[in-house]
This record gives sequence, C-alpha cells and structure tokens, in this order.
Amino acid sequence: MKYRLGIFFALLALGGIVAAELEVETPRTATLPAPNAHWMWIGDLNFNAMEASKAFLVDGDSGQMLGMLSTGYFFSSALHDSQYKNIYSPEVYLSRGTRGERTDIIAIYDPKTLEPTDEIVIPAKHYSGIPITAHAAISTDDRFIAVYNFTPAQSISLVDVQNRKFLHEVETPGCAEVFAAGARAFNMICGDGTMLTLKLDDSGNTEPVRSAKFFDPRTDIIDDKMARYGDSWAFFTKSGKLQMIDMAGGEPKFESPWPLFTVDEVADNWKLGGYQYATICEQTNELYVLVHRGGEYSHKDPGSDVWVYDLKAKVRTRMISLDHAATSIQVTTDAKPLLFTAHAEHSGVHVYDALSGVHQRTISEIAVNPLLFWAVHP
Amino acid sequence: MGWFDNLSERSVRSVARRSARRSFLSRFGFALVGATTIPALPVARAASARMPAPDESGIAGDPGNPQSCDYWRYCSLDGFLCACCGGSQNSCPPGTEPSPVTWIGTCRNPEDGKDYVISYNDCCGKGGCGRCFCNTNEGDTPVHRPTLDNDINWCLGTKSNAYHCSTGIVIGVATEILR
Repeated sequence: MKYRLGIFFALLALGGIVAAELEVETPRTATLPAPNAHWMWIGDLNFNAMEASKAFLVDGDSGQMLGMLSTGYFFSSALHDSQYKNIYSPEVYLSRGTRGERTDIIAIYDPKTLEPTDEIVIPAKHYSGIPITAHAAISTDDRFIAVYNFTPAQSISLVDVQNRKFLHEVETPGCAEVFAAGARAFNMICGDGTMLTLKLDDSGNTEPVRSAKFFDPRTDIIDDKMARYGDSWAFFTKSGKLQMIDMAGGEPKFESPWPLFTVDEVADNWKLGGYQYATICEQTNELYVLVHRGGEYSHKDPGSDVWVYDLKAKVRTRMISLDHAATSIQVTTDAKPLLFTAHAEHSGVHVYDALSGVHQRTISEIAVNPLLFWAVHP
Repeated sequence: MGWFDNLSERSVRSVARRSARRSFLSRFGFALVGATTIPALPVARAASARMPAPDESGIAGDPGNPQSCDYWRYCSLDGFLCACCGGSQNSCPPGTEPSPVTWIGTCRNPEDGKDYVISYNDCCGKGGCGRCFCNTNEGDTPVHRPTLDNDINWCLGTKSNAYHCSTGIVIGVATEILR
C-alpha cells in the first residue's frame, strides 16, 4: 500500500511539474509604445571609435533604456518632425569604416520600431566635430531640413522633407550653425557678429540677408551653445549674458541682453560651461544653465550646479547643486519637468526632478561619451 | 585619469606655467642664459645626432615633454597627442596623413618667453588613437569663428576624414595674440 501511495504522489508531483513547464518561445522584436514627455534621446560620440557613434533613448520615469540607433561617424544629434512621426538623423559613413568613400545621408527612422525606413543622400560636407545642437535644423512646418556644412568652405545643404530629396546647396561664407526660424526660414550666426537669414519659397529658393551686427566677436563673443524657446532662441555671451532672439518671422529680432551673473558672482569666477549647458522648459518658462567656478578658458569644464531663471521676470529663482558633475543638461518640456544630466567622460545619465532639484535616479551604462540630449516632443 | 580630471590639473599647471615661473624667468633669465649657454652646446649636438626619445622635444630651446599635455605648445589643443600614438609633436603616426588645414593657437615658450603661433594639424585616416587626451582650450573660439576653434574635426582635404590625433607645429613668432 505504501508503495502504491508513493507512486501516486510521485506521479502527482510530476504532473505538477509538467503543468508548470514554460511555453515554447519564438524570438521577436519589441516595438515602442506611444512616447511621453519624459523620454529623452542622448547622442554617443564614442570618441575612441567615432565611426561607431550611437543614439540612446531612455525613459526618465522608469529609468529604462528603450532602444538605440547606430548613427555613423562623428554623430551630433537627430531631428524629428513636429508630430514625432519620423526621426531624421544626419549621418556620415566611410565605406571602409575609417577610410574609403564618404557618404553623407539623412537617415529616416520610424520612432515606433527604430528601423531605418528611408534615406536622403546629401553632399559629403556635413560639419563634423564635437557635437553642436545647431549642426542641422528642421523648419517648423516640417517641410525643409538645413544641414550645416564645413569643408572648410561654409554652406548649408537644403533638403525637401516632403519629397525626401536633396534640393541644393546655399553658400554661406563666414556663417555657421543653423536654426529653425519660423515656418519657412533658417538663421545662422556669422563670425563678424551678424546673423544670416535664409527665407525659403516652396522650392527652397532663398536670397540670404544679413542682419546688423549684434555682438562683438573680439570683446564678448556669442557662444555656439544655445537653447530653444518656442520660436525664439536663447544665446549666451562669453561673459554670461543672455541674448534672446525672436525668430518667429524669419528675420531675427534681438531682445536686450541681460546678465545671468551678479558682479560678485563674476568676481567669484562663476561661469557657464560644458558641451550643452543651457535648456529651457517652455511650460514653466524657465531657463536652466550649468555653471562652475573656473578660469578664463574653462568653458568646457563640467558644471557643479544648475541655476534656474524665470524668463518672464528675468530673475534667478532656484539653485540646484548636482549630485554628479555634468557637461550636458536637458529639461523635458512638460509642466512637471525632469532634468537630465550627463558627463561626456562618464557613461550613464542622471535624472532629477527639475522643480525640486532632487536626484531621482541614475540610468547607468548609457553611451561611452554622452554628449548632446534632445527631448522627445510627443 | 580622464578628460576632465586632467583638465583641472592642466589648468592649474598652465596658470603656474604662465605666471609664477614666467616671473621667475623674467627676474633671473639673463643670469641663466649666460650660465647655461656654453654647457648646452655639446648637449645640442648630441641631440641632433640621434632620434629624440618620444618624451623629449629633441629641439634646442623647446623644453618639455611632447607626450604630456603640459608641453607649452599644447596650450590650445583638444584631442589625442600624436606623440603618444607613434608620431611626435610635429609628425603624424605611421599610416596617417596630416591635415592641410587646421586651427591655430598662440602659446608662450617658457624657454625664450616668446609667443609662437601653433598649428594643430590633425592626423587622419585611422580611428581615434585614444591615448593622452589633452583639452587645454586657451583662446578656443566657437564654431562660427573656425580658425581658432579646436572642436572642429580638421581632417579636411585629406584622403580620409577620420580623426586619429593632433600635433602642435610651430609656424612662427606671434606678432599679436590671436583671439
């Protein structure tokens, strides 16, 4: 009897194991859900192997990596249209990795699958260097993309987004970087202290127009780091003044510059610094800047603090002492914004509650050299 | 140490190099010149008779270690030092090509107290060397003032645009500080 009971219980146990057995799986590929305002992209320069630059997508709420793009050689950052239906990534490829024929493209990716869906070949002249936000821009009507070229001759390549084709090149001697300026225009900064406006007709034809001089490059030069604020862009002078420029109508309207630092803070050597040191939350009308104490040529030094300014009142409202020194910052665009920070030398990004300044989480092992953030605008 | 840890140390050293030591040299320079001229000649002959070691300039009147970011010529550099990658302060590593266009800086030679224009020709055609990263930035300007901008990949006009490392080549005595 004991023997029969033993067999009975053994079979029962076996049955239990069989019932708990895992189902057979087949490999599949994940797709992304609808984006939210707390998603953030970060570019990876991968400085020791720049032929393998990347872009990582992370979720600031969950702290999870969501996906990645492989973005070719010396990548800066990608663009997307106003509805986040397509990602447009200016990329450079050399046919043998670090040599061979060079091909520049705007790769187009599906934001749900992160698969390349198309590409537009452009002249092999795209600026390459330490990433800058203004290496390319998309017009606010999603119709044209302008890519800044440096060979060292300066020009832009104009791309018809609607028909997915390169249109033509516009020579822009003495002028660099490119900014969306309303529906059908781009602006560039010129080394002589002026701005160049390129208003486009439906065919992308343009007759560039120079503004009056708005900064002196020898006394207080405008930097190549800036932050978008709707149809305006906030620029910064070496001495720490904010120069807001309204570009809604195409031509720049220069507002009065105002200082971010008091006389005492200047004497105390507080400075802007890093690779992406300014960011604006449009919902709260707040400017966030990365600051440090340093010498005359410390403009690439990491920041220890983030100072927050009310753009309407033009006053500083908060000072955030960072848990981790940073060279890039970016704030999300919603009413409860997150502040992302990264240090170009260290893998990983940090997430803070932008309003309280409290560190929320670290998302580790993101990018070898995280350089430029760009926010998802769902 | 990495980029930015090095940077603070370099900044401090740079300040030291350009202030205290310079004042010291300005005070005692004449005496030192007289005291060192005669013994220096055999040393100079010996240096010209052999290839310099990678950690010395090999050039009379050109003090410092080309494998160190503190070397005076590197005052406005941003990149990997070619001297650590199989080249030197003025030659590209084997199999790489010097860029014909560059950014320039103005650096003071502590030996003679003169400001020299330095051309930071990039060496091109291989992946990043990854050694001796140096980021000093004296006089570095934004992208819209490119001739003094060390953030641009200057591997332009070369067979390949791939950046490998940077040199620091003396191209003359500066008549004014370029900013």
